[in-house]
Parts: sequence; C-alpha cells; structure tokens
Amino acid sequence: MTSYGLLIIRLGLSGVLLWFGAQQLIDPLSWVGYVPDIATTTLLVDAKTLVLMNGAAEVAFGLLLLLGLFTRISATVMGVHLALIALSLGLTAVGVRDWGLAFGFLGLALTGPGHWSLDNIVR
Amino acid sequence: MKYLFLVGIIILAGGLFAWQMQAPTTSTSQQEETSPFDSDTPVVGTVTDENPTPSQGSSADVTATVPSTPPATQGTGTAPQAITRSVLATHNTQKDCWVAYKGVVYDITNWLPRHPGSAGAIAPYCGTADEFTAAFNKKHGTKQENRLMREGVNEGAYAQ
Repeated sequence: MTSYGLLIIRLGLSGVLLWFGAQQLIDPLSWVGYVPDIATTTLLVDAKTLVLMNGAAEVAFGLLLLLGLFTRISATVMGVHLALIALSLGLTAVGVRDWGLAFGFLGLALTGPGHWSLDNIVR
Repeated sequence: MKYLFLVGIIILAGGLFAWQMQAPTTSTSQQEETSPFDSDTPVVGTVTDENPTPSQGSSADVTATVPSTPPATQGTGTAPQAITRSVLATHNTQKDCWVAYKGVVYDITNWLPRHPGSAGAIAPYCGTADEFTAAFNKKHGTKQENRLMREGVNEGAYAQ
C-alpha cells in the first residue's frame, strides 16, 4: 500500500503545482501583486516576467513529479521554494498552508517516488 | 531515456514561458496593469452623490482640502471633492473595502481575496485611515507601499 500512498501524494502535490503554474502562465497580471518588491529590484526583472518564469518552473516541476521523474530533486527544489514563500508570508492562513505543502514536498524528497514512477521504471 | 523526458519538459515549459511573454495582455487583466494614478482610472464619484451618509451635505464634512497626492480624476472640468472620514467609514466591509493611506483613498476590494496574508487580515481596517495606516506600517513598513498603490483603485484624496 505504501507505493499507492506515495503515488497519491505525488499526484496531489503535482496537481497543485500544475494548477498554480498554469494560472500564472494564463493570467500573469493577476499574480504580480504577490511578487515581493525586493525580487524585482534585486533581480532587475519586471514582476510579470518573474510570474511567468515562476509559472513555467512550477509547470515543469509539476510534470516531473507527475511522471515521477527526478522526483527527489524536484521535490526538494519545490519544498525549498514553498518554504521560502511561506517564510515571506509569515504566520498567516496562506503561509501556514504553504508550510504544509513545503513539508509535503520535503517528505516526498526523503521517501522517494515509490513504485509507480518513471524513476522506478526507466533507469 | 530519463534525460530525454527532462529535456522535453524543459522545452515545453520554456516554450510556454516564451509564448506568454509575447502574448498581449488579456482584457480581464488590463485594469490591473493600469496605474491607479492614470487619468482614466475609474472613479466612483463625488462624495455626496453615491455615498449618502448622515452627515451628507455638511460643509464641515466635505472640504476642499487637497492633500499632497492628487486624486485620480482629471479632465472632468470640476475638481473632485475630497473623501471624508465619514464617507470612508461607510466602505467598511470585505465586499466594499476602502482604506486611506497617506492622503489618498484606495478601493482594495478586488485585492482583498488575493492578499497573501488573507482577506481577513485587512478586513478589520476597511473604512479606516489611521487604523489601516498603523496596521499597514506595523506589518509592512513602507516596503509594500508601491503594491498598495498598484493594486488599489485610487478613489480620490482623503480629507482628514
């Protein structure tokens, strides 16, 4: 049953990434408000471009997790990503939720993808 | 084989990024890209026309005071009246949330659901000036001023 549990966790987390990534790619201007000012000033990239970059990255990592490909690396990157977002939000409703997602990703990074994954099938 | 999948996914994500970078702004998002200080920013109206209050019509309530930051309305032929504290106080719900910050009244109703710290964090300060400013400064300092001005709709000057 563990393999099915890991599959469900992986599919759930990848669904979150794919949904948010797609939303950012479809309508980036609705998301620019979330971009911290420090990001635009330090990276010298406008907020819309940052949102699109983030959306593309989340879609890419979402697909990797969906397929179970490079799962540990992908889950680690997304776990750190979510943790940084949660840290910036502080102890708010959204922030706490993101902490939960971050720990989910980090847990998946530790357990690995499980049986039902390309990591397990394709060597 | 795994790396072929990886390359494919990277190309797909990069293609989506490049495609959207070149895509024109959608109409639904156009208003958000528009600066709240642009001359065509929608303005709800004068204080007394659309926002009746018990103190409506009082000369002490509606003043001609013009704060340092100009209101958004331009080209109407008449100078917009400043929004008073009592009028501001009528917009005190999550579905109709105005706040005053540094002499300007902002409608942040549409921004509330997207506030990273949840709408509930701001809701108690809807319809206020000093309380909102104090809470805003305590939480964000001046770091998020630009965001407030970008996301809020400038409704006009605030008459303190």
